[in-house]
Amino acid sequence: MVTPVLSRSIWRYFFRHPWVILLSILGVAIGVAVVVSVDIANTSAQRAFELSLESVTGRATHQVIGSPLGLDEDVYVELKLEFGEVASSPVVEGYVVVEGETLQMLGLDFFSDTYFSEQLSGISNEAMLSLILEPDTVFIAWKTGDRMGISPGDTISISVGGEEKEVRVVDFVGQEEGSTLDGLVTADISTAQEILGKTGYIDRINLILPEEGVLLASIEEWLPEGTTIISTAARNESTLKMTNAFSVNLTAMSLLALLVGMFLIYNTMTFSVLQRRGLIGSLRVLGATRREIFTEVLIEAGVIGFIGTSLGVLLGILLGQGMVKLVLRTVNDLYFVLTVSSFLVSGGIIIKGMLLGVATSIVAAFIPALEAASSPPQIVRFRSIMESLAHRLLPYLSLAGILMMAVSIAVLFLSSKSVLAGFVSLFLLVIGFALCIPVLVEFISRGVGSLMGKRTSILIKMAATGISGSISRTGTAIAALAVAISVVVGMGIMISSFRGTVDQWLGQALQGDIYVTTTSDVSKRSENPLPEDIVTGVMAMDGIEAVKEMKTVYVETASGVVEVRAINTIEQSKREYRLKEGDYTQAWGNFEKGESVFVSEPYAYKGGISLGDSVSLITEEGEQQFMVSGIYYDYSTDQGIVLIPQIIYTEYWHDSTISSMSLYLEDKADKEDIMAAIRAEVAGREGVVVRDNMDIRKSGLDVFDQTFMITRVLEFLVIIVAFIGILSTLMAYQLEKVKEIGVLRATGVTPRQVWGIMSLQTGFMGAISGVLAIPLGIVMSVILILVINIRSFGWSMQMTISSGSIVEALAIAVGAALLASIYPAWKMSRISPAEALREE
Amino acid sequence: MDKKKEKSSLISLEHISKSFTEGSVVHRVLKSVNAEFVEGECIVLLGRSGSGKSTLLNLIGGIDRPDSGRIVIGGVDITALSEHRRTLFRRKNIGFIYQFFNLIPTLTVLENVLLPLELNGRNDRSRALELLDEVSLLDRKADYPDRLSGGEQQRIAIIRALVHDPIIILADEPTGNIDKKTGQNILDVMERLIRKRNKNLILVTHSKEVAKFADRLLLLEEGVLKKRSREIVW
Repeated sequence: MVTPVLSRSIWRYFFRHPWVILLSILGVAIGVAVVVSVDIANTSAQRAFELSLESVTGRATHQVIGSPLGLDEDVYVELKLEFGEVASSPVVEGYVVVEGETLQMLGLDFFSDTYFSEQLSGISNEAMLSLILEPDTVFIAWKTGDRMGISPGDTISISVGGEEKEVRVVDFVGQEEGSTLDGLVTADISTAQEILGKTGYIDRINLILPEEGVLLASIEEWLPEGTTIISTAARNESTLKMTNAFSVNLTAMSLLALLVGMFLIYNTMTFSVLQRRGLIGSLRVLGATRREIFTEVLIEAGVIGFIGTSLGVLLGILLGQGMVKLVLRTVNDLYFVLTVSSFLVSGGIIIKGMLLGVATSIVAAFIPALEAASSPPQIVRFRSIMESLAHRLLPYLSLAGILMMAVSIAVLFLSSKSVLAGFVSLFLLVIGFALCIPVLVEFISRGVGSLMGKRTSILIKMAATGISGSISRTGTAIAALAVAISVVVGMGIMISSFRGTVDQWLGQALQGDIYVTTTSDVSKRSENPLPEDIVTGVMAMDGIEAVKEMKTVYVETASGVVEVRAINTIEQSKREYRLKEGDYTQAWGNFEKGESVFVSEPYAYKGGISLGDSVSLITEEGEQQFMVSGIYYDYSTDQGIVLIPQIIYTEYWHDSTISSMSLYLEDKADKEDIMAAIRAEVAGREGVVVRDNMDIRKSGLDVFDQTFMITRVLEFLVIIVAFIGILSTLMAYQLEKVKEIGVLRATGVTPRQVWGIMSLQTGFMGAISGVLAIPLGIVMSVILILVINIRSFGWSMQMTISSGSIVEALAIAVGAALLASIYPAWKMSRISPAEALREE
Repeated sequence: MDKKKEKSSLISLEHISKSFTEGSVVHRVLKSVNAEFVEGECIVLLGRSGSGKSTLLNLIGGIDRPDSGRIVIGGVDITALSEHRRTLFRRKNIGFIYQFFNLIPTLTVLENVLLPLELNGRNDRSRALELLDEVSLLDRKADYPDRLSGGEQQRIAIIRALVHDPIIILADEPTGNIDKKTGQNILDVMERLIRKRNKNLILVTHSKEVAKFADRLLLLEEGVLKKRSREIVW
């Protein structure tokens, strides 16, 4: 039982030195804020996607879908006649752009038996009638309209595949309390068919069916060739899984920030115990039991943790708003179009953040609490003995660290494809290495001290050996900074290796000189076709040696939707697909004859596909198997691509359109002239763009850099936490060194020299952190590149360690340490020797 | 300046006042103190705890400034010097010995002794070694202070105070934190190294044995410095 007076006697220390408590609260707060914000961003994006799926699927349990070009609308009529008892509704869907924002358009049949989207329940009959009877009329989600300043009755301009169309907004949908509808434009099915250019076609038929039953089997049997029935829940789940690896990576990064925060709390609690060793010693002499001291220190940590965590949660909510935008941008760039207007802060996130922060604080304070409680009273009073204890503890700490690293390696080799196991291994490695850091610091500090010759200034020597002399404090601070810097090194190497690989790949994959493509995806199932006259016109131009034609469609498979690219085979384009597996001559030979397909590396990794295996795709001719003769490098999507010969596509999907052309020019041809000619050809035709390969390459790298922006933000936050760690160490250090500085000042050391010693020592601490962070960072990058990246995305990349990233890490380490030293050094230089010595 | 006077008066305290504020209470520790110390003199300062002895020592050493008055050492008014100049003056001319030794824990014994020399731009290791030998601690030169006994630490502190040949040595209770026998040993060292070398010493103590050391005894009472005869001290 801790008595109030005992508690007060201990707590008043913090009131005398408020910065001790403030810095630790700040450290916990930032650590927790990062975790909470990433959690909010992930959950919001996930929820937004669920809502997006919900708003288009409604209560439908199943969907009938056809080829990427859609279902003939007669299929719906026939289904209705055959299975009149089944609630069904045809749907046309696609994307439109309103005021620069991409929105989803849903075309619904309001006469069908069952209306699936409950959100439309609040619409008046008049409004519904207008929508059905009047052409070019739409409903728009209230949240979207409100955001864009659109009111019912307004005529708005919508862009479909680059073409502008005028429509009138009849009413809002989703006006009721708590509605989550956003980013949605709804129209009558015939209006949507016209706007989206799908006259006579529908995208799917929504059905409400019992999960397993005779009815389902009967419909499956009845369905015409080229159509299939899928479960809505299973489909949604597989789509949601797309972003799993991305979320896990972000979460791991945020936990790393908390880990650094944990070092900070440990540091603070150790300092606060060390600072009060005299007080604790006196209390022990007066009769305070070990348990009381132990409990008191843990209570302190709990209180600091609670305050820091509460602030961290608030800060995390603020930070989360920015983070949601970054995550959303990445999801939009890499996966699918999302509108997150629901900023989701659930009780679960808050509770998780609170538990994590408070528990981390208590765990971090456990060792200092034990240290304070277990020492005999007379020992607690002497710092030199405490330092000796710390020195004696170092070998055991290192041993524990080495064991952890061994377990880390074992986890790495024993787990096959688990991303989580990869991260567990990475964390064990980081913690294990961090435990070895104090002994390495001791070694380096003493080594440098002894290397300094007799001619080296004693003040400089003091700066070096002082680190080893206060290892119980400096060791943790250096470990925290080293871990933070290793994140910079590891992530830096990973990102630069990745960027280098992508850059090289773009160079190889963009062999064409000019690209003619459609601008945006109107349909969710296929890219817009290039108008035939443009294709013929361009092909007839002079100076063009060869043309690669491509059509991209999204095809249903057993494991979800897959991107299928159909190409004609020309010699020039073969170089664009570098094979990872497969014999070049044989693979292309089979491909050209239409006997096989290629798959991209991520597709092969995730599906466990090897050469000779088959991929199953649903075509207009029903489900077909295609043999894989090549696995090629591709970094455009982590969802994977099936590359098929154009002849297969035409044969099985009954479609001869193309969505892009790559033009290979003759050697003497003038690129600019040809581009100008093509631009003239497509002038006035909306939705077609002409770009050269350099332009595409640049925008590809821009997307890459944008994607990693969030990683940079997290890296920065990790460094901030470590910076606070160094600052708090130095502040505590300054408090401890008051008398020593007083003696130095009395002996004739000037304030500037005191500043110099302090800066030198801190710079040295930063340099040690930087040096130790380099091997850890490199190993971290190896795990990230060879294990986590492959397990998450299926991409292999060439590892390149640039001297730039190493120098950058060292500069950040020394810079952060020196920056953190400014205030403590200034305070130390201002210590009055008389005051300092009077404390005796 | 008169040469005779310069020799006879090394330190001059003129109307020195110093007060400290604790909350709203102002403690006037020194009230217009006047004194003159001559070259080679050993002064022992007596007084009750909190009487201002250490404060006076700090003022003479230039590590603190009086509220008013002048302190002239060797013709230099140290109260008129800037912080930086005062530090440089102290570095060259003053040596401190403390009750709690105050050796730098992260420096070896030799480095502790070398520090004042180095600060004065002299890397005279032979002098440091010679002094270490004189106090019989040459074999401990590579040790860190925490390996030494209290008496050994104080001997190091004494040679650190005089290694750079300062004009004044200020000692604040040099035997206050060691046993009687070791204290006697310290006094012997001080006698040998400071008194016999005709150094100026101002010493604060409570000890009768140490007081015997003095050429002159001064008593600080209620902020005023009074002369004391040897007989009525104890």
